Order: sequence, then C-alpha cells, then structure tokens
Amino acid sequence: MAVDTFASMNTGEAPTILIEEKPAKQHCAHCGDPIGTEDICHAEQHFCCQGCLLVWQLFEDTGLERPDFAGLRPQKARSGEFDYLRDTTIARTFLDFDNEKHARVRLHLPAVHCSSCIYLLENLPRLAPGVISARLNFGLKEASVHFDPQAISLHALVSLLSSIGYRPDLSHDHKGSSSKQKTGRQAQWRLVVAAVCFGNIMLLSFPAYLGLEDPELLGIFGWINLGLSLPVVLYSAAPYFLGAWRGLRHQHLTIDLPIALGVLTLFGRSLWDIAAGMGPGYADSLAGLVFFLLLGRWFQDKTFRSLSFERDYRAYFPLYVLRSAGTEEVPVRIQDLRVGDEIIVRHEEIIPADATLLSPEAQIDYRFVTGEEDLQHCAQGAEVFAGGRQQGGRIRLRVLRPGSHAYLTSLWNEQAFSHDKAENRQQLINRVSQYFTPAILLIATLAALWWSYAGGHEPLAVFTAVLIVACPCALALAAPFTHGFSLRNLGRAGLYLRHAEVAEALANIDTIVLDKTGTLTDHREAVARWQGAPLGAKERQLLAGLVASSMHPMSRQIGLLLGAEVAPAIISDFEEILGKGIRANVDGQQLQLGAAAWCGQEGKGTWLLIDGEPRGCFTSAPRLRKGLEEMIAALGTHYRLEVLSGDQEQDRAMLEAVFPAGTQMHFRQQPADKLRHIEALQAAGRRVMMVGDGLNDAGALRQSHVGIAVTDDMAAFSPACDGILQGAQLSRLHLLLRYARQAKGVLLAGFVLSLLYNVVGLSLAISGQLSPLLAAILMPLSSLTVVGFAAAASQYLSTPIR
Amino acid sequence: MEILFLLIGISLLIAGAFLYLFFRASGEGQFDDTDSPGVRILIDDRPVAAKGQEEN
Repeated sequence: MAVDTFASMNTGEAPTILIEEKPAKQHCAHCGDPIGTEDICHAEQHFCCQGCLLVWQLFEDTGLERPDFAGLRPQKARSGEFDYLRDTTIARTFLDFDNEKHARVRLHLPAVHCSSCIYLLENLPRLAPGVISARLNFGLKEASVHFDPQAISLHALVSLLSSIGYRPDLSHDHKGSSSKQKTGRQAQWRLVVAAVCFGNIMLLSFPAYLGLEDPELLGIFGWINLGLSLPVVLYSAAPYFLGAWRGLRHQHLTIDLPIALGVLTLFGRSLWDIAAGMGPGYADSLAGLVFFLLLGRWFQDKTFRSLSFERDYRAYFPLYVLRSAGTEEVPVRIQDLRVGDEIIVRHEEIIPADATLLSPEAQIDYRFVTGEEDLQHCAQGAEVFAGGRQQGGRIRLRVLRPGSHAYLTSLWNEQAFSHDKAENRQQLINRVSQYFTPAILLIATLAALWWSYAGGHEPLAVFTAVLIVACPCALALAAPFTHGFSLRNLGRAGLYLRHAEVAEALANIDTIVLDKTGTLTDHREAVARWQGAPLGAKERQLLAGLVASSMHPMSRQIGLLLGAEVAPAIISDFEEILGKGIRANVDGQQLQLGAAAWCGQEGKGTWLLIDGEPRGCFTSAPRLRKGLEEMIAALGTHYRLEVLSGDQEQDRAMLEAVFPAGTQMHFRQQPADKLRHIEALQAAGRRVMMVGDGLNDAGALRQSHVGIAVTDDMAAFSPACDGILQGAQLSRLHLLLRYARQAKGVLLAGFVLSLLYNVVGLSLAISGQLSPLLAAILMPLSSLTVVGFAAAASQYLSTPIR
Repeated sequence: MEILFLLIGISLLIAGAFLYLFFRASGEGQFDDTDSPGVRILIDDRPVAAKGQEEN
C-alpha cells in the first residue's frame, strides 16, 4: 500500500497519503509498561528503559548470577549539554554536601517509571567507579547519590545518567519540594493524632453505652475523654478554625464555619455535661468527626508529586549558556547575561535571550514558543527570539534583551499571573454552605425559643444539640471523597489534575479552546510528502538505505513513507552534516538528501540528489493526532469549540474537515492575544477550558478556568497549568470530561444523602431526644453512607475511561 | 475495680508511646517514599569486589 501511494505521487495535487499505522502500542518485554519515547531493542524484544533490559538479561542469560552492567549500551548524549558542570564552582552549587572525599547530590530524574529503574539506579556504584551509594525516592523520582568527587566528577555522573536514559532535570524548581513535604507531614500528623485519640475515646465511651451506671467511674472516664479530645480540638481541628476565620474575614461562609462551630459546641457541651455529672458527653463524636474529616482531606490531597504544575519560562530555559569572552568560552548563568554579550548556542540548544545573529545562518524551531510548525531560516543580522531551539551547527549571537525582558517572557508580566486563580472558582460546597450555616443557626434558635416557651427541655441543651447534629460531617466528606476518586480515576486515564478543585471546575466548563501545534498535531506524527517524478523500485531501496542510517526526524518520516516493504540497500561512506543533510554511497551511486540550499536548489523542502541530479523534494506536513475526529465530534455536541493557533493559516482546511461547521479558528495569535481571547470569552460569561502545550499558551492556560497542558513526554517541560494530559489520551478527552460531569452528579447526590441524614438528626435534636449514643451512631453512619456511595458510583462511572 | 485505673494508665501510655514513635519515624522521613523500599529489598546487596570494604 505504502509503495503504491509513493509511486503514484505527483507534483501539484496534495494526495491523500496512507501510511502504515504504527504497530499497536508496544509494551515492555520486562515490566509490561507501554513503551514511551525511548524504545530499546535487544534480541528482538522491546524495552521501556535500560533498567528493564538489564533485569531481563539478568533472568534470561545469566541465571541470577551477574547482570552484565558492562553490557549497558549508553546512547550518545547531546554533546556539551552539561558542559557547564565542568566548572567546579558551578558544579558545587548543585551539591548538598561536599568535601575532599565525599559529595552528595540530589538529582531529579523525570524518566524514572518502573521498578527496574530502581534496580538500575541503586546499582549505580557497579556502573560507575567512584559512586559510593545511590538511593532512589521513587515517588519524587529523585536520586540521592553519594560519590567520591576525586574519582568521578558531577559532570561525569550527570553525563552517565543522561546516557543510560535518565537525563537529570537540573532546574532548581524541585528543590522547593521539601517544604511541600513538610505540610504533607503536618496533615499526616493531625490525622494520626485524631485517630489515636478517637480510638481511645471510643474504648472509654463504650462502658456508658453498655449500661455502666457507676457515676464515679463515669465521671473519671468522662474527664479522661475530655483530656484526650483536647489535642483533637487544639491540634487536629486547627485547619478548620483557621479556614472558618479566614472565610469570615473575607465575608464568605465556608463549609469550615459550621464544622468549627460543631467542634466547639461538641467540646463545650461535653465539658458542661461531664462537669455537671449529667452524662458521658460527646467526646467520641467529636474525635470521630475530626478523624473522618481529616481522612477525607488526606484522601483528596492525592497529588502527583513527581509532576510540576507551576513552572514558568525559567524552567524551560537552560541554566547556563556559553558566553564568549575574547578567545575563551565560559558558562554564565542566564540571569547574569547583559545586553551586548556574545553567546554561543549549539545544536538543539535553546536560545536564552532575544539576540542578533552573528553567524551566517541559523535554523530555529519556534514550535514550542509561537506554535509555528516550520523551521525559521535566519540570516546574519536577523533578530532571533528567546525560547527558539537552534537546529544545526553552533551559532554566535549578541544579546539584545536578557531573558526576563524578552519578547516572549514579557507574557509573565501580565496580570493573569499575579492574581490567584482559585478566587474566581466558586466551589459547590461553599455555595451550599452559604445557606447551610444561617439555616442551622436559625433552626437552633427557633428550637431553643420553642422549648423555653413550652418548657420540658433545657433550651441551651436543644440549641447545642442542633448544632452538634447538624455539624456537616457527611456533607463535608462528600466533596473530598468524590474529588479524590476523580483525581485517581482521571490520573489512571492519563489526565493528572493539580488538585481537587480542578476536578470540580472541569465539570462546569462550557467552552473549550484548543491550540493547534503540538496539541492537535504531533510533529512526531508528521507525514512526509514527495514532490517530483515517481521513483523506481531500485531508487526507493537506495533511499531507504540512506534514511535508515539517520536519526533525523525527516529521515524517519521518509522511512515511514517508503514503508516496510522496501528493503534498504547497503550503504557506505555515510555522512551526516548537522543542519544540512545526509549523504552516502550506495552501490556506487552518490546519494544526497538535505536542505534545499545545501543541495543547490531554491525554496524549501528536503531535496534528494542522485549522482548530483535533483530528483524532487520531500515536504513535511503536520498530521492530526490519531482519533481526534471522534473526540471533536463528541465534544462539539456539548461544548463550544474554538481553535487558537500561533501558526499561519496553511492547516485551516485540515482543521475545518474535523471541527463542526462554524467553529471559530484564529491564526497568527501572539501569546498575549491568546490570553486576551480567553479573557474576552470569560467576559462574555463563558467558562473556558484551554488545552495547549507550548510556552505561548502559558498565558491562556493561566487565565482560563481550567488550563490543561498536553505533553507527549511526561519528563519534558510543560507550562504552568491545572492539569497535565498525556498526548496519547487527548483523543479520549470527551470521555474524561463526561466522567468529570458525572462526578459532579455523584457529588450532588452525596449532598442530598447527607442532608437527608441531617433532617433525621435535626428532628431528633429539636424534639430534645438527641443522646450521646445516638449522636455517636448517626455521625459515622451518615459519613460511611456518603463515602461508600461516592466510592461505588465513581468506580462504576469510571469504567469507560479505564 | 482499681485494676482498671492501672489498665487505663497502661493503655494511655502505649498510645503515647506509639504517637512518639510515629512522630519520630515520620520526622525521619520513613513514610516519604513508600514505593522504593519494597523493591530495594529484592536487590542483591552482594558487594562488588572493588567496593567491598566500603559497603561493610
């Protein structure tokens, strides 16, 4: 099939190209994970990482004896990438500790993903003499390496890790993780304190419920219970008091307020009852309430710790760049660049500042920063912009504007980045509690008034009983558990949300704005097209042999276009010239494939010369990700869709074929235009979800109600956002959003359930029949019902997205 | 019935001791990573010849 289309392609028309779909997703022969960007072949097996290959070999070849660490096949790292680490003063800033014989460094390794990674990395001492020990924190994807700086330098260590597939992310942003960890620990401690006190209070409360009538003993138990509930009130429940206070100060009635009221009332009433010898008090309900609430919080705070949702442009740029000073080239920190500095940027490196090109020519890939699919060819004297990626040889530049003032990064001075996003998202639970708290206070007062008029029950007792029973434990648990399940289920389906609020916001959007480059299209899926006279079978074989030797994306595309049926010819004298092309001798024929200028041709495209004779050229056209048609059609029925692209209009027809008629498409959008567009939609009352991938979408991602960043490589940079979606899962976005909408239904049902329990409890409290035993049964029962319902419903609804 | 007070005292002591140990373990970071130790136990810790002295 591929051969036919290839042979029939002519100049002029744009033929529909069918190429062999990639074989169904490969799975690692060892761990079974789907194989991502790195595919390691060995003995006709495919592996997801060097660690898996190693462990597999260990089982296969050597019968548990000696894994062949020497057999690891390091790949060629991008040369010079970590060169700045050769400078010992710079290297030292990365170390946690160092002296003459010992040094310790923590490295964030985003590529870590399976247990073989742990095996390989913790065996680093066998792989690299000089490494004393290595420990991996799997959750954080952070390796702590202890090494002898005299035997192995940090540069050598980092290069080694990089070459076996674990490229360390040296940007400093993950160093802040320890404070995040501390707050996590605090929450854990609060929960454990509540649990310990709850358990002991329960034991001491049982005798009263089981009919113990010795008043002296009951009194003692009561006082011990009160003592045990003190840490619960003062320590474990502290977040609720703070939350209620903050809410009051901002004149919001949050759900924390009735909880804080309930806790205080429970404690006060228990103190009163026990001091007056009137009963066992409500200490067990109090501790149980706080314990369940904290459990809900803990469940909801499931975070994807190894992902970063807060990166700005600084994390995208390199840390150091080479500055040429006279004849020397020294690495300098990006922040220290000054106007007029002469800098050097090599193949595949990112331009750190707006600059003028001093070298004769450069090819710059702005895909990630402006959304343009095509490489930009620049001539000497042209202005190049920060964030572009140089393709080809090394270039010299003169800095015009340092990074923080650059054209692109000025986006971060926009207002959208200064205000807190959470404020414009009203959570359902807080909307409910707007009415809940006044209603409860009103009911409590009326009931107290009634009983003071009618007599028979102590009015204050009834008042407190209403507050106790109405304490919205189940109500407050419905949201955290429903959201917690949503976070987990969506995470399993490839959409990682930043926190629970996003899960709720996701259900409320009505407009979806999509970026084109990198989001709807995937440059790795781009298709090569042939323009020129059809090639003969022999020539196709020659070409297949040539491109098989090159790793360049264009070579890969051409290889795909040729298809698997064409047997590659044996080639010799292969030569790859960075930024130009490739050439070789095949069976005595001279083949040359590369940039138009290098092949002596005009215009664009990748030209093919056989024995110096131009035969035609290949152009590369982006292709939509697989399965988008269905997804977009399904989304179109529910949402208003729009496309915002920084690119030219050349792909409009391709998009219009897929999107519903009348979809607004805007092209040539600057980063700030995208942000303004989202603002305009919001001003028109739309609740907008932005789906984008690049730095130019950062403003729109930030401004939108929900910003989702699409990424194909979880280890790569993605701009600040509310959620990260795996590129391959974009085609299932409609299912994910449907699940989010259904989860909101589950949440509402949970609210209704808990309010029903409240009605029962309130009627008991108003009629003065609420005993400590009833309270102790009612509260956990209602909570368990709501949590159980949320679990079962979420589980059932998540089947289509699993 | 006086034995009750002794028992309650002991149970509270045990609870307190648990809390203390938990705080200490958590403070040392024992619960920060719950994935790697399970795999680490399966890794041979046979020292490499050259590294023999250092690992003992």
